[in-house]
Amino acid sequence: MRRLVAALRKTIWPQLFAIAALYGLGVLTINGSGSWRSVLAVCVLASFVGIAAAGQTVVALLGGIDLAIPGVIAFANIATAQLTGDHWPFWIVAPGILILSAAVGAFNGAISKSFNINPLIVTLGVSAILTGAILVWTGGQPTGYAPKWLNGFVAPSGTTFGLPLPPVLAFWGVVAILLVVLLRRTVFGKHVYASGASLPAADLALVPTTRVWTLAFALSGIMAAITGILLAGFTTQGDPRIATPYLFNTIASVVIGGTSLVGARGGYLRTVLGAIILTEITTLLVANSFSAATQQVLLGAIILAVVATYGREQAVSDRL
Amino acid sequence: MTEAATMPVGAQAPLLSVTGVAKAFGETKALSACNLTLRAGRVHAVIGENGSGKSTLVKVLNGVVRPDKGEVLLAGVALRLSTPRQARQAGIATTFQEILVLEQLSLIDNLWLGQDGLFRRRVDAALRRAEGEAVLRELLGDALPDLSSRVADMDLGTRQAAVIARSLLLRPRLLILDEATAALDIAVRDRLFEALRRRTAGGLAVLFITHKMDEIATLSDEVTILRSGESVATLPNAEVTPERMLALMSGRSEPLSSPAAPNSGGRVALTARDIRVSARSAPFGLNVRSSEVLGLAGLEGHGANLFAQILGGVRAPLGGRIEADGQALSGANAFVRHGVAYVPRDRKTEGIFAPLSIADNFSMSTLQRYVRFGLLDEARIAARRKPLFERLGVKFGRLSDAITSLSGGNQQKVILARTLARQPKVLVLNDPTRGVDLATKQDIYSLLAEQAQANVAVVIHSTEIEELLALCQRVAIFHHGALFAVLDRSALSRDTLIAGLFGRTA
Amino acid sequence: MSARHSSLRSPWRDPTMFAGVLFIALFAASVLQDASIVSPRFLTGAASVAVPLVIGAMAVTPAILSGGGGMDLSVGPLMGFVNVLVVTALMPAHLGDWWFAAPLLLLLGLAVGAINGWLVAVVRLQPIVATLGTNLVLSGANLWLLPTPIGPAPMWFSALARPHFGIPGPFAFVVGPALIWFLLSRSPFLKTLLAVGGDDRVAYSCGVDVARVRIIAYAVGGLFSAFAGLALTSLIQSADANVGPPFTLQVITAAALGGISLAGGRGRMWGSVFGALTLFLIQNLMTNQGVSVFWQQVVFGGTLIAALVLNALSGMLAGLQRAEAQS
Repeated sequence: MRRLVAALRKTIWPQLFAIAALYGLGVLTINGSGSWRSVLAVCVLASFVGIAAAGQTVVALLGGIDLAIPGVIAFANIATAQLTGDHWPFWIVAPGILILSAAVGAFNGAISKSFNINPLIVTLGVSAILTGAILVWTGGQPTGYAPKWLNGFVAPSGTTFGLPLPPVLAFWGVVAILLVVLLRRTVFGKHVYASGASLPAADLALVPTTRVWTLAFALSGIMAAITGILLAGFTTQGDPRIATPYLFNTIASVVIGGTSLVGARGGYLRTVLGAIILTEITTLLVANSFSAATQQVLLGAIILAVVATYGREQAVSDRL
Repeated sequence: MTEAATMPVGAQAPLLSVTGVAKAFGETKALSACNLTLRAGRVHAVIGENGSGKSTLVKVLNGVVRPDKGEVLLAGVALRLSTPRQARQAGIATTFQEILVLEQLSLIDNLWLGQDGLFRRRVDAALRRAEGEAVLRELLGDALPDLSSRVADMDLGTRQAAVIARSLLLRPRLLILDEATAALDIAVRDRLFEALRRRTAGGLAVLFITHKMDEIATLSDEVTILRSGESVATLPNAEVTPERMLALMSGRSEPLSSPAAPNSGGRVALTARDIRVSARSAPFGLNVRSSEVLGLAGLEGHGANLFAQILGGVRAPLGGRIEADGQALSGANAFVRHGVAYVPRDRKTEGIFAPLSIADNFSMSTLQRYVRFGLLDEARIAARRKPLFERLGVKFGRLSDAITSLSGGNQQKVILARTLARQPKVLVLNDPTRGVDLATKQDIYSLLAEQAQANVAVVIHSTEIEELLALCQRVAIFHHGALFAVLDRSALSRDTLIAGLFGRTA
Repeated sequence: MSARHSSLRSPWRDPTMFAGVLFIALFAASVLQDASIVSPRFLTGAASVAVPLVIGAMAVTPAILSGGGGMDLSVGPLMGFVNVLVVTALMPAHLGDWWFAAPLLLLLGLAVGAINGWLVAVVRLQPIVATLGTNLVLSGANLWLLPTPIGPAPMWFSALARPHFGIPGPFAFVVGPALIWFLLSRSPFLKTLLAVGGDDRVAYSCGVDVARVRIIAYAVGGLFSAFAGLALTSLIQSADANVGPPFTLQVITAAALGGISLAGGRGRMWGSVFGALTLFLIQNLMTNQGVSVFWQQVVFGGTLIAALVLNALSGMLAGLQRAEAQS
């Protein structure tokens, strides 16, 4: 029995089962939840988390964690609205935001690795700086609006080249493919797994570990920035508070998907499944009138339970 | 902690009885059939090559691991240990191979670590100091360091004496010493042996794990020989001869066959100039030549290991520099660019990527070579991997299996394949046959000889005398952190090598 | 083979001393800016604000000292939890008298801490993940219990807030943790904790029950968080679910500033106290200079990063020295 459970853990069957079970639960408890439209709605919601969690996945594979994601999302979100409101064209605004966010991420990764400081704390500090900087910039009163086409991009009712698929979902699909290929078939991807498996072995095996950390966190910054920009389409104007849930829901997606926070085990496909599961759970809770507070409690408990199955550390005796 | 049991020396009933103990870690069978009997007041040595199961036996007797099969009886009572604490309570004190000290704590705190309750002090300060000093004096004589200063400032020899003292202070009835003399100098070691003899006269039983035959001759009453996880024989001291032991340890009656040796080395690949390995050692110089296997030998802590790391480019020397083609090499990248490849000593923490597949473990160092249109091309990887795996004789199930599914020997082969894929010009190996079975060892030896014939400069740091004798054209012996002697083929023999390790010329 | 004399160590090498020196420097700067800082009025008024932070910094310290990536991200929400429970649970149930409420809440803090310790030592989750989980659960619980802030707290809280014998009220809450830690440091526990934090394999091989030591460390942390929560309640004289979480980041900054090594096994409680006071003085200085709240947020984040880098550098320096001493 034990071996069966252990073997199952290595596959994605538990996640697929959860998706199906939650769908069934939704059909039972919520009216109209089985329809294609509501499925699309869930997927669109999941795509925001999924894209933000892409960076968290890569960082988790390194054995790290990125708590600056909400800060970057908030920054990108506010900046998109403010700058578009100041009549800057999107093709300048977007790259500018992405470059800055990549720089922030690079800083996180470089400092954590070079000084051997837990990235959780570094990113926590950087997040505080970012949130403060945003407040300073906007004076606490964000203004502006998002580009109009962005609203259509993220709407669940949108279409892509005539297909009944919201553009943001197609976008997520592309991101997913790129990321899976990046992690499985490129030198960088292999380097990430090696650095997460054993830093000393990676150094000796000619893996440029500091560069890997810097790039991985920079990627996380970019993914978070993309999420922030997309969210501007969803809520029309800039609002830093929109980013707060992304602290734990990116971690939850990674963890529920079965990627280990200890490092080197897992991948982005799992996070995609995790994001969908998480969104299904949240939707169920909201539709059944569970408050935001209860959701947080439940999700905290779920993270603990899932990590307890996927990410336990070695016992002392095994290290002697 | 009870006083040593007042059993008459050599009493009939054994104090410790190990029967049929087996323990496997994943695929690796560390112990398959271990049998041992130990009586009070006796010193029982256990000898075996790397990977014979000695350390696992110690861990079983100490409660760190639990055996899969078999029985351990202590004074006739079945011993089922789950933690080292229980072992201590049963009267077993262990000094591990790794020198386990806490650097931030003072010497006296290290000595008494674990003896207090969580909130209650069991031994008062004055008694601690008095007894601690007394035991240390037994080992170190009058060169006692200040007991209240931090261990961080003390050298390896003092630290090793400290961990032995820690075990003695427990007043055990069974003392287990796992390779506990590696960093001790001769005087301290002799004092240790005397201290042990005093205690065995009072009923202490000692289990003495070692791979040094001279220690067995001087100290032990009997020896058990372990080979590949099995106890193959137990000999009383009188019947011990090096040849017999070697034969039992390795299952051969002859020394290892030397692979065909090339003529004396080719051009100089690396030059070590004015190198200082430790603060107090004298600077030395050494040439590494291609087409030659150069051995680095030395007792634990005497500098051979550190020098191997320096040659491999993973450690900076305290003084001097390494040169290639007249240029000083500084920084790991410079070594890599000049074709120096280093195979680390500790496979588990520095060698393998445990969660990753065999395939990934192989290709990690040379990934850039397999890129096609930005992506890794499996065909190219396979083209490089197949011949290397075949040559090395790597036995595996599927390439996608985790590397931990392989035996220690096969894991080492994958690491060697990874290194050879880089086509290095200088190959520096740090104790490469540690924990590796005999058949794999032979495979590795012939591979290394082949590399030397192919004009590669091979440097191997080894702690096994037979290995050095079989493989090397020259052996550099390190003593107290400095180069003591370089023996070339004509001067190389077991006697000269062993003498050199102890700082003597045969 | 002479042992280096480590009794005389310059501030650059001893992180705790460095924290003390930093505090004194900031204190001097504060006095220069506004001499009223040493007045009794300031100490009983504005300085009381520092008390929850100081106790909170003390609360996060045992977890960090215990090593193995030790961290406690649940300090802030636990403080808030205590605060919220006083008004939402205890008072309506007429359990709001100090001789009942206080021990009950302290026990609760101890229990939550013990759960953290169990998750870390027995379930073997990374401490950061484990305490992040309890952080989320507690934050959610706080919001669920008290969606909007409410007042007032029981009378004895405001009674405690007043000075007795010239000593400001909130300082009474420091006595508990200080006394407990003092007793712990006199027992073998502290040395054992530092041993576990320094190298848990060494401690384990010597028979130390590593799991139990860590559980106790986190439990003590939870207990201290409860004290901090009580102090916080006496300060704000109301209950607010949002007031706890900001402390999470601040107490870690305080500990890092105080020279507690994030790798475990090194540091002293005094360091955390100095670190917290330093942080308080920085905030005070900024407020007096008219720096906006928004910029203060930036400065806090920057201070944390700077403290971490300094912390790491001093650790690297110590490692280099050790390598030199070994011959």
